[in-house]
Amino acid sequence: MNKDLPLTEGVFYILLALIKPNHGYGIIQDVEQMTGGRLVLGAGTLYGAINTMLDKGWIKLYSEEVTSRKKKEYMITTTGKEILKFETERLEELIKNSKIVMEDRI
Amino acid sequence: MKIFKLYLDKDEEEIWLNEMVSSGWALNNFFFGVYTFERCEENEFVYKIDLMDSFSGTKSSMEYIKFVEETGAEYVSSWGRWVFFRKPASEGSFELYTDVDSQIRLYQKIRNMMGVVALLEFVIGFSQLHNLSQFNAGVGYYSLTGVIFLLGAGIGYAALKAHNKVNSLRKQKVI
Repeated sequence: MNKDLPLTEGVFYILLALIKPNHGYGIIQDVEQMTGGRLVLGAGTLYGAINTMLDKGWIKLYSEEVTSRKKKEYMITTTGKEILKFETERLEELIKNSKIVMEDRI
Repeated sequence: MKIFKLYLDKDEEEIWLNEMVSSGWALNNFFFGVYTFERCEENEFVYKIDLMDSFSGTKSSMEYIKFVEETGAEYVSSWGRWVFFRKPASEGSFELYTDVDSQIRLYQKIRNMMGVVALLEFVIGFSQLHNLSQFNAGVGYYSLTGVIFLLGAGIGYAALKAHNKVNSLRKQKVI
């Protein structure tokens, strides 16, 4: 499981944006909002990431209306949530250690 | 207005299309080297060229185009695996690939596609030469074969450029 870590910044935020059912443009907007406009995902980057995460089983197709022009929606899976949890723990360790080391010295 | 031009480098092609926009011409169709432009406001659009995984007209290419359109871009034209998108410049910057990993994958895709096409050109060129040597062919036939070799060399060079781009992007990832 740990061989998938660390996640790229994009993948991490896409997983966060898929805690609720969300479509492509919704993911881009949510990530942009969460990062205060710093991270704006390109459509090509997002499309590739979505397909990779579907293959890995981290996210699943939530809804697809074949007849209407409605957008495809995706949602995180249990596996995806675990990945997110592991990555958050890894990031917490980084922050904890950097704080310990840098305290008093910088 | 129609312009015939042969581009083997999509980045240079993109720059040219955006220069056309700055002088008030917007691409609305591309077919076999023929670019069709219509009038637009100066600097109205930002154009991006992309290489899809599958040929235009297939289900997966249509899915991709729909996905990109849903993010606010407009589909302009497609030819083979190439696709042209644009976005109003008033909506800010327009990038399809925003991290190094996906940029690497894009240029790998371009390199592989160009490499295969270049190889094909040379295979066709050499088999032509072989055929021509069987009978007393005129200069016309040989010059046609020459064009095939020239095209193969050009496309091969384009593949090499994409390969170098992949390497320089990879270097960015290494501290």
